[in-house]
Amino acid sequence: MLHSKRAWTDEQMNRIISVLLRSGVLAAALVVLGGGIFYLIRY
Amino acid sequence: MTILELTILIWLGSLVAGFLGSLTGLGGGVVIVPLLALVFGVDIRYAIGASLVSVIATSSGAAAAYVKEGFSNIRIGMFLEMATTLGAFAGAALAARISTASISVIFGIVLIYSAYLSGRSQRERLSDRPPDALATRLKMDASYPTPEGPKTYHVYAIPGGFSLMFIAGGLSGLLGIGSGAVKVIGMDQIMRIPFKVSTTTSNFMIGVTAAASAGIYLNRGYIDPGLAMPVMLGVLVGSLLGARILVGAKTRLLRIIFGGVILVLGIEMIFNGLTGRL
Repeated sequence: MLHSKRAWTDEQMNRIISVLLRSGVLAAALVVLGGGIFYLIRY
Repeated sequence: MTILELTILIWLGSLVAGFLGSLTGLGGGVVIVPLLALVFGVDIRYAIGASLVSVIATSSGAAAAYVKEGFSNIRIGMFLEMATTLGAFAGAALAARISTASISVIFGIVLIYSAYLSGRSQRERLSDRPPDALATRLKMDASYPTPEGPKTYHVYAIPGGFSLMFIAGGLSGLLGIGSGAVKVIGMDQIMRIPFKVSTTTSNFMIGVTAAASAGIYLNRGYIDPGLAMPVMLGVLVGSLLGARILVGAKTRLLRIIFGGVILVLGIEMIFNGLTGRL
């Protein structure tokens, strides 16, 4: 049976974490901005 | 004052705090909490809750670049996050049990210490001692990019650094700041990690620590969306602007001025805490 044991290198891991962090912050900022506008219109 | 006017004012204040915090490397949290508590008269626990949300956002935003460039050491960061997270839980739990005056006095002391740190010179301190057995076992020794090419370094005194990280986490949970200064002391001076790696790894860890504390503040109802929204957006935009300007800016004078402002805020926090005005 063949096992594909492709361990991630530190550089690959750094790149993945970096993309996840950037996407997370962008998504969070957009949600907060949208929610904030909605909140200000409502009140 | 209408809600819209107050929101805009808090957003502007947070923008300036994030901008200066990013330029001086102290982070926006140390300015946001005194700003909200002293200028806007917000209850210090709600100010801490809003600050924690902004700390998560700015830490993650800045860490994305540092991690990609290879400055942050993720192995060290994740290992030490065990201590900072436990400390953050303890600090956040403690914050609900002690008076706002006591929090204010502790905050003031931390601000005065941060002001002292902001005036100190930063230098690389690489050690030529043989590698530490525990650090080698945990694969923490690594390299970081320099203009002359990658520079390798060794990590030492892991138990000592781990213990200090618990205190850093506790301060973060108690006061709503990133407590990056304490984290950097632990890594730079105790664990002998190069200064650049220490600051960037600390930046990466701050968000995780703040997220642990924010969970407890959210659970207790101390995170008010109406307050956290302008603070988070203001600090995030301000810190991104600061990071862009940082490359060409002469930050020495700015650090001294900012250190002076923090010193005054620290004294005011202690005074207001002792006289029961907060």
